[in-house]
Amino acid sequence: MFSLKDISFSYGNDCIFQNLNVEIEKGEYLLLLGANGSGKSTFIKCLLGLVEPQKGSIALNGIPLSKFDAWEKIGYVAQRASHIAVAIPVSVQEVVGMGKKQKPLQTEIDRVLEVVKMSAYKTQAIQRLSGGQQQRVLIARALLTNPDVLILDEPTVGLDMASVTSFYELVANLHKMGKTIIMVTHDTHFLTKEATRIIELQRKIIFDGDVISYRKWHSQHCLFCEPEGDVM
Amino acid sequence: MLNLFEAIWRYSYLQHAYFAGILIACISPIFGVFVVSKRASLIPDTIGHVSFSASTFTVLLISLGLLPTTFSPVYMVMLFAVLTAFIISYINSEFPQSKEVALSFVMTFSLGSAIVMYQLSRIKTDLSAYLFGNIVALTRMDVLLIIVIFILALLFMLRYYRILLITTFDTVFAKTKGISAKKIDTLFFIILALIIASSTKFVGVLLVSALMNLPVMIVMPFTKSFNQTIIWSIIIGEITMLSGLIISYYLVLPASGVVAMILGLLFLCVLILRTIPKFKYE
Repeated sequence: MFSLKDISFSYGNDCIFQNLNVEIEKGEYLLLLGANGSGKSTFIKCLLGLVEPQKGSIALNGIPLSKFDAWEKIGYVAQRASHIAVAIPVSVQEVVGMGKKQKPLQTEIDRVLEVVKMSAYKTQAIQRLSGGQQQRVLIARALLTNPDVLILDEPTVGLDMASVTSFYELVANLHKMGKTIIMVTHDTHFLTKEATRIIELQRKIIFDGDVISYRKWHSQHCLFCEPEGDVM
Repeated sequence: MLNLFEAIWRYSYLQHAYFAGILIACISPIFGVFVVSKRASLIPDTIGHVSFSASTFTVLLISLGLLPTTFSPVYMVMLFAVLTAFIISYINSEFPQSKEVALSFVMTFSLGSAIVMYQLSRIKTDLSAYLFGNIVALTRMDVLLIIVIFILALLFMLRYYRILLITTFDTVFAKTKGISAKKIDTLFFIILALIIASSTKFVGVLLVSALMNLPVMIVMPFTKSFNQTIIWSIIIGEITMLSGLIISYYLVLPASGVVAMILGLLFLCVLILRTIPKFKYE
């Protein structure tokens, strides 16, 4: 699906990564881990075409990203807090409707709200919902165009444990429905069993494998971990 | 004193005032909703201050014989306002965290230069008309200009409403869908500048932002959606405009001042109502 070849990216003199090579296959549930400043967000921005690497190439389904125009096939969910900054009340169905450039049908909005179990709140202002509910609405917005891949950038920041658990259940269901999931998280202590692959970045790939191998590897390298990490 | 309806029938200045007022009170809150959403409530004031300096600049040029005495300041005001829109668009995109400082600079510089140019000019016009508006001075050309800008602004909204909503709510998400916030923002600020430039003769530089921001702030605690906020902002804008014009006629008071006071009092009522938990949010 995504093919990153020899990607190098710097912000000015600050080199974020050099000669990064990653292949992300259709149907994967990829967790992208790493500490602050490890390059996770930059990696995601490269996948979304928001920034262009100074060197290397990125292709999606064989098409170079610079020529790719089927952006409705990629759903993006960012951190909640940065995107509910609008002062005016905006209803849930208005937010979901923003998932498409053209005005969507009400049935399309209702469909995705049903998937995320937020139908009862469609006329409520999003600012009045809890963090977990707001994040579900943002997922619904990303699902409106029925994307093949969902990219989630630290979606559980600021959510309580119950909301995080519920959120991971929802994402697992979406993965079962056939979506490719790429989720960025900095939290190495709560890893979902549903993930098929973990990549940890520290300005380069320091781990690339499955969840079980990651737990063993992480416990050997993490100063703060118990021998067996938590897995949801 | 004539009955109001008789007076409107008889006097063209009242016809101009009511017609212009209805159009301005309709279009200002529509743009005001987006201005408040972008947390850019200083921008109408900034454009208003620049419009003021454009007016005094025109008068200075006339007094120096560089422009004919029949040259209307409104053309210079439009030009300055549009140039300001480009500057504001630049500030908004390059300095999102410190745009208030940059806008304050533009306001202060505009006001300072306006005062200097007024002093240098041999023609001393009535400053209060620029600052507070003067409905009596509205000509048929002014009303025609307001109509043209009203139509332009309405067409812009009909065409770009969804894109504007998407970019206002979430610029990054908009980029992932291939929507450029910068281009739409520039266009938005240009139209906004034209609305404000055409309104300043009616409501004055000091009160132009009240018509944009206050109807929105008044209805916000009670609405649940963006569309509801726009509709109710227009309703409040029209009610305050018409009641302000009617009251100012019978009490022989400046219309813009009365409209601003009504808006202010309504906002005060809302602030008091917001102490009731049911109407709180955020």
